[in-house]
Amino acid sequence: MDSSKYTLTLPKYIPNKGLSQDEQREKEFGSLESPEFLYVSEHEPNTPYLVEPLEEPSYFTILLTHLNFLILIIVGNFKDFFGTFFDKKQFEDVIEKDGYAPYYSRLESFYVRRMKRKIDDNFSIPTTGVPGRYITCYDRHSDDYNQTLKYTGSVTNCLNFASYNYLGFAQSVGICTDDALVTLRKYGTGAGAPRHQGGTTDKHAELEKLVAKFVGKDDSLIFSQGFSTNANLFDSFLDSECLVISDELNHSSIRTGLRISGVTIKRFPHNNMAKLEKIIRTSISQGLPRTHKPWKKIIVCVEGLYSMEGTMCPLPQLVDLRDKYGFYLFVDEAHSIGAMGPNGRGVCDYFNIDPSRIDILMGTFTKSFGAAGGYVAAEQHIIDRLRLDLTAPVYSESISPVIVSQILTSMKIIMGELNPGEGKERIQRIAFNSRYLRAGLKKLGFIAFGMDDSPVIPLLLYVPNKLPAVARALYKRGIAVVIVGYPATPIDSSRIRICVSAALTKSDLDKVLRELDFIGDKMYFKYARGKHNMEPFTDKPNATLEAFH
Amino acid sequence: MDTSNVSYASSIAAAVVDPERELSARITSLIDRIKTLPGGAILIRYIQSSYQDDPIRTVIEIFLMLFAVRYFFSKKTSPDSKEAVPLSEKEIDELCKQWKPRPLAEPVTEAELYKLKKIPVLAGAVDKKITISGENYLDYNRQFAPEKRYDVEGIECPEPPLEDVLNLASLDFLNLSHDPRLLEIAANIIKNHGVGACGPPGFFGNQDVHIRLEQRLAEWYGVDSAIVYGQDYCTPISILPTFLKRGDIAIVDAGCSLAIQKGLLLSRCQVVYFEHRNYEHLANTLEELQEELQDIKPLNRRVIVSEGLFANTGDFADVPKLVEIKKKYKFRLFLDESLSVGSIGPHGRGVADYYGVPASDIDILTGSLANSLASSGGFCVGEKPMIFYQRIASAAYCFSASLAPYSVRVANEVIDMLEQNEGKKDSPLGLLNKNSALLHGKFSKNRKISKYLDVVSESGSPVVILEFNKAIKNKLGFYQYYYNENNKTAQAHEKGMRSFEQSGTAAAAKPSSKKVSESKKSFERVDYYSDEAVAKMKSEASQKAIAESKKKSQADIHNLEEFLISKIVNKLMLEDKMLIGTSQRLLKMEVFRVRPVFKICLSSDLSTKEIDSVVEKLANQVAGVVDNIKCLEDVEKLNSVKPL
Ligand SMILES: Cc1ncc(COP(=O)(O)O)c(C=O)c1O
Repeated sequence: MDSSKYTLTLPKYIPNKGLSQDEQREKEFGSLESPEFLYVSEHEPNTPYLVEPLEEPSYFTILLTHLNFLILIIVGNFKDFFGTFFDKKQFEDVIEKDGYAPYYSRLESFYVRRMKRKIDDNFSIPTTGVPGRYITCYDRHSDDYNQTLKYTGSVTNCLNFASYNYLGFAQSVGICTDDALVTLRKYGTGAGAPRHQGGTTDKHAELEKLVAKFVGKDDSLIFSQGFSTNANLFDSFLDSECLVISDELNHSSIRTGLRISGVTIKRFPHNNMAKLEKIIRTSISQGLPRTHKPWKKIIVCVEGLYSMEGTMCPLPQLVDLRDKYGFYLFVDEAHSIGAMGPNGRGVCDYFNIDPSRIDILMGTFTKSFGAAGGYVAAEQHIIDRLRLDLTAPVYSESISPVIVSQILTSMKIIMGELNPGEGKERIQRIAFNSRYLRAGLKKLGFIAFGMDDSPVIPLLLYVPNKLPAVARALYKRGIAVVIVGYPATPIDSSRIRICVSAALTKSDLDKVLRELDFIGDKMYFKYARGKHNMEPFTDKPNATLEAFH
Repeated sequence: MDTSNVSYASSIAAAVVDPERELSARITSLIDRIKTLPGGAILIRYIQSSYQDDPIRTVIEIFLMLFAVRYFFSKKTSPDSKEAVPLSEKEIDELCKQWKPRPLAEPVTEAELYKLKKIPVLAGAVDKKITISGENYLDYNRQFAPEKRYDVEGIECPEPPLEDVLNLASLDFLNLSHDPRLLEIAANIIKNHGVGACGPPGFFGNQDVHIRLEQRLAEWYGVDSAIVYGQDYCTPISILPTFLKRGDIAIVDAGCSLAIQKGLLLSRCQVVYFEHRNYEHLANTLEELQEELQDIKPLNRRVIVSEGLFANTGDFADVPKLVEIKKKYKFRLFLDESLSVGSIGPHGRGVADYYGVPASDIDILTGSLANSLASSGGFCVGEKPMIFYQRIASAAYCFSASLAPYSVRVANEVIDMLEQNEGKKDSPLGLLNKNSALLHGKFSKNRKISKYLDVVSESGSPVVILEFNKAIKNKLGFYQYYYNENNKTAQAHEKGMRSFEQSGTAAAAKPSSKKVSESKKSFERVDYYSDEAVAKMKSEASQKAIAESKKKSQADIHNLEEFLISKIVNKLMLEDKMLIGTSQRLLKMEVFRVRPVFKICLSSDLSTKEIDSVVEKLANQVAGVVDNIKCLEDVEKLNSVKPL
């Protein structure tokens, strides 16, 4: 390759050039290969939700992982220490400059500079076109260990196991797009004002009603960003005399929102109901610290589906606890809405639990609807109060009507009101794909966290040095996955995350299984010691794992 | 220590009768093994010799070791569990059964009801002329509707939509959201990229359009780099805590809007306020702080925080002055240009541009893409390391999906348009500035208006802001301003501002760090669950409630003033077909002083005739409503009308 042609600016590339409509459709959403490749995911009634024990790798792997980090930290600190004296140019961003403190200190940015930089070529990869079944990535190259990344001018079409596109609504052909285009012509490019100041159109009102109906609540509120929905929610109804008991793995947006509200926060270990109950009991009986006054409100915050773990909250136990102790329950359905349950209506649907047993249902439109934004749904009197007290409708932009239209159309498809049958197929395809791929990976000897039905599959690599190697190998083979390491995960469990989509076909899954099988052997990350020979389906002769023994 | 020559085998034999000997033998064999390690022999020799020479040292070391062991195995006690009252399981069960939480959300009171009903819902697009839906989920405007409507069978029917209303509430100042060129471009992107980005920037959500917009923004501002956020409101909320941590210091203009207040709250740095646009106060405050700041080693991060065009008051920050001060005292400058980007300055880059200050003099400059740029989202521009660090450490960027690609592309195109139209008098920007000057001029000259209202905003601001003047406020029993009585920071700020206003000297209001005497007060445990105590609490609470209900709080009066404003706004809409905005600020969230206002949002294509009629109609409506009211009770009576 001629590296002199590499550029720092993004080269021009037009996605889908020369593709026919059908080819484009197939690239964004693969056709179903056989009616057998469908499955209804549902929690078995009357069986308790098992919080699966996480599989442990061998001590050797753990030792190696820690050793890896140790070397990284020692060498990094050594280089930093001497670098700041002898190579000031390199380190000018972290040292004081003409009387100004650096934007970030050496210690604060240690992880970014010393660890993340090594995987930067697999991070923030620029893409173009629809993030559907395939995703088009710009190839990059670095001559200086990822200090600068240059564009080579070429692109790679990768099978997309990275985007949050659970139901495959990231499409540029189909009725969602048609509706979005009609709305664009009629409503313009933006809503132009905050919700309470003339930025609310009939589309917004319609979506709020539809969301409420979809999740089974009285009313809902919609916002232009999922993060902001959580970040600006809690300050309106919580104060320091209220208590929030939050799962330790809750998303950063929830933690931001709780911190803004100034509420007292206690954390419980991920999905550990016994610990949670203990905390609830001591909290209620002891009351506020010092004064021992009773807590005004106690709220338990959990997520429906955890995006880094692939686990779900044990909802049946949670609602039982709620009935027993009378606390309020908040569930963030960012990843589960649309993706879980026989009707795609999230955790309540999956566990077959009445939504009235959860007080606040929050979710985002980013993941399953191919759009953006978030919602909060609850009983009418709660929503009325929130509508007045939340800051976002007053101070922030309104969600754009085009995005509202995308959500409306996709939600109606899921509900079967539009294109009857299409929504069902999408829901059952993702259920099949998730179960099949996970069983395949387990059979191959990988350690994958999470539940069988979860479309998020974290594949554990443990040793941090394997992250870039595996990601590069997969990218070279045309497969896009997300890699996550410390600090997004605990220090000793670096992983790749596979997001399954309804847009993928069974051959796509077979391809990724085959490639991972090969890479896994080469790079030694088939850590599982137990035998996993469970077939994902008992009654689908064409969907067995015989091919991968 | 003469046991070193005892062999392993003999020690086994001896162990049967003498455990002590066995132990010493084991130790010996261990020592032997250590000796075989490289460097082991030296270590052992060192330890042996040092213990022989110094028995006291041995005692101390054993003591230290025991302490360490104790420390590691001791239960980690939190302050919580120290104070915990020991209770039996049965008692806990009992207490759990008795505990009743407050309702998750307080019900909306009758006095607040108008707020829900006044939210306008448009049937159709947000444009210059809008249709306001009569039938919607909130039955909005019913309260002020002239009469109920019934069909022939006597069934109540919904209001017909209100058509052809002039929109003076939209922040799309350049009226670009229906521009054919932009619609075409947005449609193309949707056909190529779909609608959503489907992932955070780090995880394949960073599309070509995002990279191009970031480059374009940096180029437009003449700085190193830029970053694009998914929402404008969350941008300062996320950026401020990224660069301000505990130990850092921020000096903040007391007129800043809520996004900045929330960002500072999250950052947990030391916050010092200066009076709104009083740069002498700022300089004095900095001078006072110098002594304290000098000894801080290593240097902490120091930032002056201000808005370019203040969203709450519509006046301009004196950016040249700010830059001069920040350079003198070596502070960084954070400037939020959300409202001013695209609407102010010869190039439309905001207030800094208006004063000719290069963007490179402003360290952290944020703005909104959702207002003049007819798109969605927010952005930040500045030096490379500053932007670089946000990409990994700023939560709203890192943990949230990227902005929708078509919005990104639209913003990019609007910047191109602004650049192409630079300097033209009849460009949207030129017309907007002309309209602003015109309307501000008309308002300040209008005798009828000045009898009731003061113009707060400055000429040039695309939002004209008006409030009741002193005379009217006094007559109706309103306060000159309101503050959040229930919030400690707001109280501290208010106290500081008052002492500053009284003395006229620079007494910076610092947020109160909890008084030591207060926190040390010892508490007797009250049995809140005994029937007696509950009854006592109840009666106390009810007495308090009665007393409270008689006394009107700041919040109540604030609500009434807002009500009066929204009543006028509603009449203006129903009778004169003009929708204007109001302040709607949430008193309970704000740290700074709040004043209810009318907001008239201009757009580039308002005609002179329309501007004239706005002034006249508003004057008439204000006069019509206010003249009929004599005191606070009258306003209250108006608001307590039961919804039809
Ligand atoms: C649990 C959870 N909540 C909220 C969000 C934020 O949503 P958005 O990307 O729409 O801002 C995410 C996204 O990653 C999430 O995982």
